[in-house]
Amino acid sequence: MEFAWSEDEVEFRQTLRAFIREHVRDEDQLLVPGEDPYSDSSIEFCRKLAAKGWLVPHWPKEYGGSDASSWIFAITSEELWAAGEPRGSQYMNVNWIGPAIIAAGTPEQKAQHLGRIASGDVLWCQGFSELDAGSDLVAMQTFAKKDGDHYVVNGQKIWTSYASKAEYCFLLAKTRQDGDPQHSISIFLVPMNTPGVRVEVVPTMLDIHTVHRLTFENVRVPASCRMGAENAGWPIVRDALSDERVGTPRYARAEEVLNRVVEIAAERGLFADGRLQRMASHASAACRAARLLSYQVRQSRSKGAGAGPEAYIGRVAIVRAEREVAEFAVEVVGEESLLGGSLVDGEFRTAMIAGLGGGSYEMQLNLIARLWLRLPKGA
Amino acid sequence: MDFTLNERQLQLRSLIRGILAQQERPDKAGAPVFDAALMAALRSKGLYRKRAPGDDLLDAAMITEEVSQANRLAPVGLQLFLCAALFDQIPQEPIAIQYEGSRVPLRYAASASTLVILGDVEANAYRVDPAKAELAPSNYVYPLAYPAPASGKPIGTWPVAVVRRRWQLALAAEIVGAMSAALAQVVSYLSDRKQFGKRIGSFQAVQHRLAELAVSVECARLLVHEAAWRDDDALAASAACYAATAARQVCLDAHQLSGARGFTLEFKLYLSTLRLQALSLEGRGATQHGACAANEHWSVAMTQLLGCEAGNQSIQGGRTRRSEPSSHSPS
Ligand SMILES: Cc1cc2nc3c(=O)[nH]c(=O)nc-3n(C[C@H](O)[C@H](O)[C@H](O)COP(=O)(O)OP(=O)(O)OC[C@H]3O[C@@H](n4cnc5c(N)ncnc54)[C@H](O)[C@@H]3O)c2cc1C
Repeated sequence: MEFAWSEDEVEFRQTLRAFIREHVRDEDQLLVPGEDPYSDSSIEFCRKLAAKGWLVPHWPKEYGGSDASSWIFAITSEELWAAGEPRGSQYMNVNWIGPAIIAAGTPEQKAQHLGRIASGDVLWCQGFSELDAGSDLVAMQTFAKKDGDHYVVNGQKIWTSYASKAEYCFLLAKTRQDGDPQHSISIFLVPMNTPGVRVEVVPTMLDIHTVHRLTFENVRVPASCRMGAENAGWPIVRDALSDERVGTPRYARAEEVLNRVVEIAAERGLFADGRLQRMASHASAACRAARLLSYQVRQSRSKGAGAGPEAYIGRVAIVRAEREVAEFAVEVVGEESLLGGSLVDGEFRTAMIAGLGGGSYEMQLNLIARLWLRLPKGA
Repeated sequence: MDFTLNERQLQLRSLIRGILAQQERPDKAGAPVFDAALMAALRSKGLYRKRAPGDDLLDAAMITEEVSQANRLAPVGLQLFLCAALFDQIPQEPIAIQYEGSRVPLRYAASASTLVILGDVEANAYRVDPAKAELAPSNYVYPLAYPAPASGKPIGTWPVAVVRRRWQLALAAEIVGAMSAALAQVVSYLSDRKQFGKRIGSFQAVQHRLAELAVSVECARLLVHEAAWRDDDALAASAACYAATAARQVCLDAHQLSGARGFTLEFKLYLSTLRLQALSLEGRGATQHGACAANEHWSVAMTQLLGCEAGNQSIQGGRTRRSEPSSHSPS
């Protein structure tokens, strides 16, 4: 075991930081998420990042990467999250959508998508959840019916982030009616401008994030958009999602917010309070633990291991870290946190969604109980 | 001891529920405002009478709780707990309240023509011009604003402890109402919502979380009722401390367990949960209420602390009245 970074890694982090200071918009670096997931600015920023070779360093050279270690990508993600995630929705592209296409796409799909993802100028959204298929995702009803060399898709996805600006949807749909649900799901890489796709905003109280309803009405999708074999999408997705779970270093953002709030507390002469010191230190430890767990998963994934229960532990630790930071921040600024668009208001709302977006907290606990603790399955 | 409502209290409760059922929630497009029609209806039914000597404050707690549980924006809590006992005339408009030296956004300050300020020893009420209040951009359901600065002669002056405990009671009662609303909504939703072929509310992991919340709500409710009945400094502060702490948990868990649907405007859970967040912070939140309660409960220990430098720094307003929880003396 060893916890040190190599010299190259340390240097890379410093170089990247300087680049971020220069190229990330000031408003992103405030760490107050806006309703607009910086879609337009993300294209501008990601192109710059790609030009430096830092958008997908961990991808194989043939797909636009530079075969860098997954630590280089981890450092990149951390630094960017801590700067307000200027990649916007493109963090998903490089984290798991691209890797899923590398793993399971046809040569044509790879040619069509990977280059654009690697150069930073395409936006995607993730069409998984439905109104009646949330925690129980495989209960989805959206159906893709084979019709010659096309599929005809009907159904409705909901809570879809980033959909209004997305060019493609990574869509899950059932391709057979009966049979084991886990073996009835296929993946489609659907252009959002296909006739019959409708996007509506679902009004929420979140302020910091917009979610959408996607309606598919007789949407004709060429069979060449299906990724992986028919009915065999689920294992691909499950594997991809375990990258998503720990691949988004939300702890890095939380840690940065924590540091800023500690500064505020100190400026106001509040940080002499032992209770606040303890809360801050505990939150900081929680962020660090989440970081270490994520590294551990990253290492075993990069050695080719499948999705193990460690990923679920990592995700729970990340959510806890976000919640603790929010609690501390609210405690420090008190009623000021009620001001819309303030750092702590944003943090409160970020922590609120942390346990749902990307799969619910309780589902991770269920999986930890079953797969890590090997407790018996419930009745 | 008697934990049942008497005839008059039962009547009062059905009267309030009747009024709440008749009145439409005002359409809340645009900035939130307080529900003037509801206030007028409560007033016209005589619910705003000045308290007679010997009356307890349970009525006030009950009205505040019911209005809050119905997710209505009527600043009845302060009106009833504070004005009914202190002012000769209950003001028509809402009142705003704050600690001296704080500059924080206050509920209803943009409609309040009375501003009460709690100092170290005294609390003073001032006339202020609501039109001069500065609206605070905020999305926690309540209309928030920074009041115009108080100036001129106070229109009323009281020992700070009286005003503080009434404020804490009003807050705690409003929290209890909002917690009940949030919990009831989530329980009802999860009793229907199915995943994995089962109702989510049938999963024990979920049941335990909801049951924990229910216990917190019932603890807070009785603490508030007793504190209102006794109108006691220590009990009011500790009820507020407990309620403000529980409010956070209810807010977070109610959302977590409602899933993504819980965040939608159409689902309306935010009407209770975001109010809980705001209420949990008002009057400097549970830490301040807790400090007040400690000051009352363990006065000897706290006096020793005063000798130490750091001791009393977070407590605003000295202790002006010794409380004796076991001997109830209506003031
Ligand atoms: C901000 C945000 C962004 C999102 N973005 C996307 C997106 O881009 N694409 C997408 O496809 N989806 C997205 N989602 C949806 C997200 O994946 C779902 O919210 C999540 O899977 C939970 O589903 P649900 O909301 O339907 O909750 P439900 O399944 O209704 O669950 C409600 C509650 O019950 C709990 N629960 C359910 N079953 C059990 C059980 N057996 N044991 C214990 N507890 C249980 C859950 O954990 C949850 O707390 C987003 C959600 C949010 C909040």
